[in-house]
Amino acid sequence: MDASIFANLGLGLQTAASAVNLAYCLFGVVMGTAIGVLPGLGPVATIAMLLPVTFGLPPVSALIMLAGIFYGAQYGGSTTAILINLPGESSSVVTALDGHEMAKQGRAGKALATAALASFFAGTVTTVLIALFSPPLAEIALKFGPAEYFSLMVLGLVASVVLAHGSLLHAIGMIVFGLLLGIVGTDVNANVARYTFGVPELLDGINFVVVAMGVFGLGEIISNLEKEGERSLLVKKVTGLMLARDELKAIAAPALRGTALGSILGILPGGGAMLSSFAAYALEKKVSRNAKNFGKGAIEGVAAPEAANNAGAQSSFIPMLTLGIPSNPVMALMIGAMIMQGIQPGPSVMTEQPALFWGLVASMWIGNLMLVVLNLPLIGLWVRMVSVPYHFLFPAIMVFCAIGVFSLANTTFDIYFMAVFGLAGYLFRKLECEPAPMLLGFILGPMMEEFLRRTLLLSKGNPLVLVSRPISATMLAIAALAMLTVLLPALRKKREEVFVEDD
Amino acid sequence: MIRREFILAAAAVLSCVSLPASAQAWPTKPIAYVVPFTAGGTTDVVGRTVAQHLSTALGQPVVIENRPGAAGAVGATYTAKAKPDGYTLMGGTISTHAINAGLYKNLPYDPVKDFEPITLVGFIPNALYVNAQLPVNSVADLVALLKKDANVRTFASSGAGTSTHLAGELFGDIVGVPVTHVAYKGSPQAFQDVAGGQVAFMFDQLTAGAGLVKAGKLKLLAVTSPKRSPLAPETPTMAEAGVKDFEMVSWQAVYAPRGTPKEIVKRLHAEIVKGLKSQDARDKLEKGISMEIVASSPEELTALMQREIPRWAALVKKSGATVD
Repeated sequence: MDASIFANLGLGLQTAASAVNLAYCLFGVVMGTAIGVLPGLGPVATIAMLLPVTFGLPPVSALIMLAGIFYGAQYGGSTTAILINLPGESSSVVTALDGHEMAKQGRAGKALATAALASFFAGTVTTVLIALFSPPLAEIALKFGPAEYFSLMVLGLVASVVLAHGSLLHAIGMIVFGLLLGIVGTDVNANVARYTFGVPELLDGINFVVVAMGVFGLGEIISNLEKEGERSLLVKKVTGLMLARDELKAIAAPALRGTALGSILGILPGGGAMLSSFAAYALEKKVSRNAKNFGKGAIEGVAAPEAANNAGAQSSFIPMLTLGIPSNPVMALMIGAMIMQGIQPGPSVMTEQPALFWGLVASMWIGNLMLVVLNLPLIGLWVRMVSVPYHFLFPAIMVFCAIGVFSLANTTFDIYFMAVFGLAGYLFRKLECEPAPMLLGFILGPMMEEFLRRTLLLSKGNPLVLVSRPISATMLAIAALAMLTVLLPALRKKREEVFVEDD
Repeated sequence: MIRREFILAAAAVLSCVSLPASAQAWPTKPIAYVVPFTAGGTTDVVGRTVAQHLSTALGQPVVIENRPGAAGAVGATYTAKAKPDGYTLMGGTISTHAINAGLYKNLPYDPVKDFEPITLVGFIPNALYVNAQLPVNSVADLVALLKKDANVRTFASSGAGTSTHLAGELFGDIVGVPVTHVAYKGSPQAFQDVAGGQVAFMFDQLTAGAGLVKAGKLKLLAVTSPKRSPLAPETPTMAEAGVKDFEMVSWQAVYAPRGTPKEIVKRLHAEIVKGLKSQDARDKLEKGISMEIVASSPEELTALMQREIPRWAALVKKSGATVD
């Protein structure tokens, strides 16, 4: 077994390191970084557009390039989250919390360097994990039934309260609002349209990107324009791009914990990877010695979710490669690409096309190395972006948001809808309601409903399965514990001391 | 005077030739091929294969536009309202052009009146999959188990009202066992739960579950087409396995908006059919998505729709799944 792993990795490296494949890998990660940096443009739209181009390529090169775009976008996505508080994907919502605070304090370079290094670390570890343990890890994915997913989501939702650093009541209100938004669309079980008001574009629900671009992107722009004078003061002189020794030390443990959490959650195709950065942030806020600075520019609050996010992105390849089950739209596209190449995704890929499987795995590590080499020098360039006069910057952001949102389903409806969410985002700022918990409610709400109803359908209406299945029971117990720490009055007082933001 | 006559004559000549000339000139700009589902799915694979051959044949790019939403209704409505000038095509399916008519009470388009059929690309058989842990090796075993054990009477589908849902309902109806439908958002998650043993069985596309069958997580019991599939020659059809009157193949077709000039429809039909007969298309469609390529005439496609629409409407009614 061990010897064959080395032989396989050797074969993989040999495949991935050929001049042609290196070039496609580089193209993929550069492309991924670029679309990650541009707000609104995501890997799904990009890969969909590039799919026809890959037909002419050998399968390995095609997959190496597409994979590069995917994890490259995870690197790039943190850039806009940190610099202009605009998370393009659900995974970078939490990066924006502390990353943007760091940027406001003039530590944008350090935040970006932290994101890049944590991502590289996570990418390296997860590549090894895929190489060594893909098949047994895929077994874990199949152990998760609807009950387990539901309990995982409950845990995630309880943890989301931790995301807020302002009023607890506001945070819960925003979560509930997010849950309601998530309900819009066709109900999966009964096929009934809910809150669609006869608008066909709403039948499939509201797209996350539309909400995020509106609430974060446009909302931020509106409130910035209101106080343009103050804003220039917010961006202080950028100090030191590289991390000092003690800062490297501070991010080591969070990055490690984030990687562990992210790679486990990423294996679960039913929405695990999506939770990874949220979960890592919540965990870090509980265990970190620096917890009181979370939300105020804590470097740990950038390292942990960035590591988790990249680890989750990469381990989400495991169910796709070993079982042919895609865990997100990008993986579904990659499966489409494989089918067009005449390859049936599944366990046979590893045995029948070892060069393809191991070449792809090896390319992930090479691609991560390229990304860190590429991104560290670019940081200097990115941070200068913040000093661009705002009246040049905001129209550009708006244009990219509009393009990105349009690319989701080729419809102008989404752009108008984004504008509505922009106004909502402005209102939330005025009312001191933070949008991050709302987004988590928005993502988790419909999934929780789906999994709960499925659980009950399969158990013939008996809710006890949620506690009689061990994995599910464990997660619910942790959720209850977390809830207690928030709700117990004595502890609650302490929480407020710790979390209320002093403006 | 002579000059005036000349001009008139010239104008008359020009007006005569200008109509056919414009049809001949088509296409002068890129053509949009609307795929009413997300990229990477079956309709997308079919669309991209057709588009690739069509671009080469017509000398103009044929661009795929994914307009997903509402079981294909968003993309179909868009195409129905598009200008019928030969620059908008659509990949229609059993969902958009047969099932939806019976499923949605207020469908914003008419699958028959709003479209110009071009060709039936082909049929795709569904297959009956069961969790590999279940002690069954044939359809008869499964039916016996369903009759005996109430705990396994569950089936998964890629969504309420899809052909995979209606297939399960029809199966339960024919074998005379009430089965509980568990809906998923798309096939992958449905496969995940059947492979994980949460749900007992499901119907889905033949190639979609091939990976999990190889991994030993699923068993393939039968195909739902009238004939065996060359991709799984050992697997019996439902009829051979003892379930009569169970024929259920999904299909893929190409449409243009109603009113597209006949000349253009003819040319499109000829070029698409030529493309579908190529080795490349056969590799992608037959091996990739287990399609039985038909490449029919527009009339044959119309006839198929006339048979399918009432048949599915009856099944939808029986299953109790409707949408406002």
